[in-house]
Amino acid sequence: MRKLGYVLCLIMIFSYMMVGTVYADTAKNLIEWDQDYCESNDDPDDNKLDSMDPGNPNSDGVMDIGSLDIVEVTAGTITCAIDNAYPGYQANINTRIINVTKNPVKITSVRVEDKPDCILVSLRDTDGDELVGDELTLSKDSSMDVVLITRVLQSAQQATTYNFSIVIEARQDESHSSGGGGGSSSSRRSSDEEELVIEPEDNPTTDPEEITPPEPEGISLPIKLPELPITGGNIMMFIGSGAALGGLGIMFKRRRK
Amino acid sequence: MARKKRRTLLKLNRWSTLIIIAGVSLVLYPLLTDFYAWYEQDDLKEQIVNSEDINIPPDDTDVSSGTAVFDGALLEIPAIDLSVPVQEGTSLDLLAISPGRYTESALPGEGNTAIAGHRNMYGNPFLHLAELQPGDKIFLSYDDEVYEYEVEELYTVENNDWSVIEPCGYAALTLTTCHQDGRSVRQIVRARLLTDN
Repeated sequence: MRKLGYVLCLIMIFSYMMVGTVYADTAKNLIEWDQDYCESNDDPDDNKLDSMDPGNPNSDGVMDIGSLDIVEVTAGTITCAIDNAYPGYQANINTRIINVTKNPVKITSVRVEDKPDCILVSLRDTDGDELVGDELTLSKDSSMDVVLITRVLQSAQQATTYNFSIVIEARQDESHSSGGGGGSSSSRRSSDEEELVIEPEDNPTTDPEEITPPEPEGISLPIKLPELPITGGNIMMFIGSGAALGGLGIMFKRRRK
Repeated sequence: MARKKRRTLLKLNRWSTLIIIAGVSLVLYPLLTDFYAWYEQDDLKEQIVNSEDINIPPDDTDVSSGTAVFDGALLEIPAIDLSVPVQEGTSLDLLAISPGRYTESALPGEGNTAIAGHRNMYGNPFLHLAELQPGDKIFLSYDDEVYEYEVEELYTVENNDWSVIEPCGYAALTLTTCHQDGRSVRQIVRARLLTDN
C-alpha cells in the first residue's frame, strides 16, 4: 500500500509539473554576456608575468603569483575567481555584451554580487570609459566589446581565493519606442563628463586610464531572441491531467468497495 | 490483521478523495481563469470609460506632451463581437486579465501600436482573431479619441519574431496572439489606421 501511495504521489507531481510547463516563462535577459568570447588576460595557465604597481613591497621586478580565472559564464552572469593575489594586482576579463532583443536596450546597472571589500571591479568599454547605468543604450541586435577590470586592494589576505559574480541589468529603452521601437545607435557618455576612477589604497599605483583594452574582434554571433508574450494556455493539458487524476481517484474508491 | 486492512483502506480512501479533488480542480482551472479575467475586464472597462468621461482642459504650461503615458484603451472588433480593455504592458500577470500594449510599440495613431492577448484561457479575448478578414474594422478608443483601423492582412510568424511590433511606415495596429499550431508560432493581425475622430 505504501508503494501505491508513492506511485500516486509521483503521478500527481508529474501531472502538476506538466501543467507547470504550460506557464513556465523564465525571465528573459535583455542583455547577455557573450559565452563564446570571455577570456582573462591573466588566467592560471598562461604563465604570464603579472604587472606590478611601482613601489609595491612585493615587487621585485615581475612575478607570476595571482590569477584571475573565469569560473563560469552564463547568459546573465560571469563568475570570476581571483586567486592568491596581492595588493595592487590588476587583471582584466575581455568579453562582449549582446542585446538579444529586437529593440534598443538601456543598461540600468552593473551589479557585482558576493564581492569582498578588498576587490574593486569596473566594467568599461574598449575606450576605457566606465559603463554607467542609464547612460548606455545598445541598439537592437547589436553587441559591444567590454573590459571587466579587477583590482586587489591592501586589505586582501594572502593565499586566498575570492569569488564574485557580475550581472548586467537592463530594460527596454522607452525613449526609442515612441516611434514604434525603431533602432538606435549605441550611445555612450561624453568624454568630458567626470570620470569614475578606481583609486587604489595607499600606494599610488597604476592609473586605470593606462589600461589598453584589446582591439575588438569582428565576430558575428547567432543571436537567440526571447519569445513574444505567451498568450495561449494548454487547456487540453489541464483537462487531460485533471481527468487522469480524477479517474485514478474514482478507481481507487471503487476498489475499496 | 483485519484492523490493519481497515486502516489501509481508510488511507486509500483519503488519498483517492484528494486525488479526485485535485483532478476536478485541474479540469475547472481554465474555466476559473476565464471568469476571473471577465470579472477584472468589467472593472477595467468601467475605469477606462469613466476616465474618458472626465474632460480635463489642456494645461498650456504643460510641455511634457511628448512623454504621453498609455493608461488604458478600449479595443472593439465588431466582426468577432469583441470589446475588451487594453492595459499597458505584456507581462503574464497583466495578460491574465486583459490584452496589453507592447510598451516598445507606438501609441495609437503615432505609428505601429501592438497589442498582445490570450487566444485561450484568461477570458480568451483573441480566440477568434484568426477569423478576421481583410477589410474588417477595428476600433481603438484611447485618450478621448476613437481610432478606426481596417484589417489588412493576417499571417503567422515565429514566436521570437519581434519585427511585428516595429514601425511599418504608416499608422497601424498589430494584434498578436498564440496560434493553434502550438507555441512556436504566433498569429498576427495587421490593420491600417483609416481615420481618427
